[in-house]
Amino acid sequence: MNPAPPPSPGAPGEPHRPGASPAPGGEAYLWDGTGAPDPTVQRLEEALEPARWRAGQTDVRRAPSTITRPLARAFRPKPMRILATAAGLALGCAGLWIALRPPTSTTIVSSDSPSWQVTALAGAPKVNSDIVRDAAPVRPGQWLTTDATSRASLAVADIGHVTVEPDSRMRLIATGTREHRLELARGTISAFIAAPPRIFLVQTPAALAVDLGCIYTLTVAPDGSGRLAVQTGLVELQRKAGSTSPADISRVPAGAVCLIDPSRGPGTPHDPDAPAALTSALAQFDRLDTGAQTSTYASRAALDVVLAAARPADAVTLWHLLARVNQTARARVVDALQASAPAPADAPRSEVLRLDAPAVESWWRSILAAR
Amino acid sequence: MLRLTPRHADGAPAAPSPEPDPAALVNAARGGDRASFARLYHLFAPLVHGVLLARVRPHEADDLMQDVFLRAWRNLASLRNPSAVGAWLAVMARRAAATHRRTRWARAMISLFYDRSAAREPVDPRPAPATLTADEVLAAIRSLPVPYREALTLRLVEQMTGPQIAARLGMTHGSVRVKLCKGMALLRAHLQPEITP
Repeated sequence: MNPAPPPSPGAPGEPHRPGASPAPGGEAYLWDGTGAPDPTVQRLEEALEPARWRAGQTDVRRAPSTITRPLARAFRPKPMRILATAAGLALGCAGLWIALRPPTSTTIVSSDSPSWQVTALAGAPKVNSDIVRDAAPVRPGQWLTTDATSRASLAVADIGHVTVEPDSRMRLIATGTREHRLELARGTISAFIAAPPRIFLVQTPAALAVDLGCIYTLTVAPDGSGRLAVQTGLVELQRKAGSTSPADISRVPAGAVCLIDPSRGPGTPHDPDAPAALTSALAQFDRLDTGAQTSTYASRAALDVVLAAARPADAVTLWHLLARVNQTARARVVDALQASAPAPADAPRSEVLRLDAPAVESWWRSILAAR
Repeated sequence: MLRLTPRHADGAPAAPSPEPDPAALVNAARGGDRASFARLYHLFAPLVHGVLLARVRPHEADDLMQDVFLRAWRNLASLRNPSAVGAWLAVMARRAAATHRRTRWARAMISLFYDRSAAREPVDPRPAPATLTADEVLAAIRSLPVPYREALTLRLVEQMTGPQIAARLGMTHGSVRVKLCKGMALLRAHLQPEITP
């Protein structure tokens, strides 16, 4: 008996690990056209070749053939056609009635409710207690859970996707034209969203992440603490949902991170490459921050370290401190921020010191533009 | 034999020609540079076409292409992250397809008031060929679970590689690889009698 062949490097469907052996020939051809051609894939490519987009084929809109004849000649109502149309209208009205009737109080999740599609990337993620073998819908109210060996990809309606990492638990709360909201109880998700701002929202135990058009990774620990890292775009973390107070909002731009405390909520965003002295002092400042701009000896000492260690790349951190310190300390923050990222002409010092919103926002836009 | 990778005469892979920076094209197009938008169109037309084909019939996809890019031209200013223009266009394509499918019944009702011979597509009197047709394969792809359709149409129809699909849609390689492999497995099972050599 011939010995069994050695296992192929990387089972089909598993993520390709950098530095690993190339995928088996057939899968490699499907993946990037290299390796030995897969006969079935080739046959399908040849069959589908006529459907491929080609430059020039869609440059001129084709008029629908149904409106090429004069209306007087084209309109030939016949008895069977009239009956078919009437039946269609009746069915349409019935469908409209069914769609618009008020939901019953016992209907929380129905098979007709909108859903997102979840795909298993590895292992056996679950929707509630059901294992996702390949793909399955997730509806509002349902939990998606991954264990230590499973990962999943979640299509966020038609605006993007979320990758759910191992040991994560999240729930779809709502999905609609104006808002898509999920709850991340624990674990890590990476979101890629291409939509107008404030449509995709993620609730954590201590913060609400509001997508402003971006790619980010959000991690929540079992105790409710968390970390947000933004790759592109901007995410707004709200300490209190709906609050517009600058002290309650942490804006995390691309390249920045923000820690979330389980009891106090989002901290102050910072550069992940900031000096250790700055990040540890900032963490202490955030721990002591009550949101009321009070100043204790410990918080003043922490602020001193932050201001001394701040670099030009820490302008985002310094800008957030403007609203988190009292007026006495704010002058020192303005001085440090001015050295890192000079204020624009429409953000005079006097107005920034009293937290005049247009001046403060103008300085924020200037800081973002310089990143 | 179809090949995804351009090769020299000796079979060695040819160096791919550099792609223009999509973000730079978006920024230029926002300033009214139509030539840059034209380049964006040619760069992302296969992506948009593939996304549409995953949801509607080929002739419908061709019609909807214009709608998608016209809407993109008008709304370029609203794109907050120019480097994500591919994913943004994919979103618009999905919505265009969804709207088109929702109104399909209305168009069908309207077509009943016209001479059926004008509404009916011409029938080829020749006997059906034994080989698979593009329509048959696309119908099979559209019958698969939603997560797999786009990856398959972009790879098999538009000849985009896995890395290109991931880059255009902002997905990880692992996610695209899973969707291609599992989708292909389901497609094989669906078309087994037809594609068995």
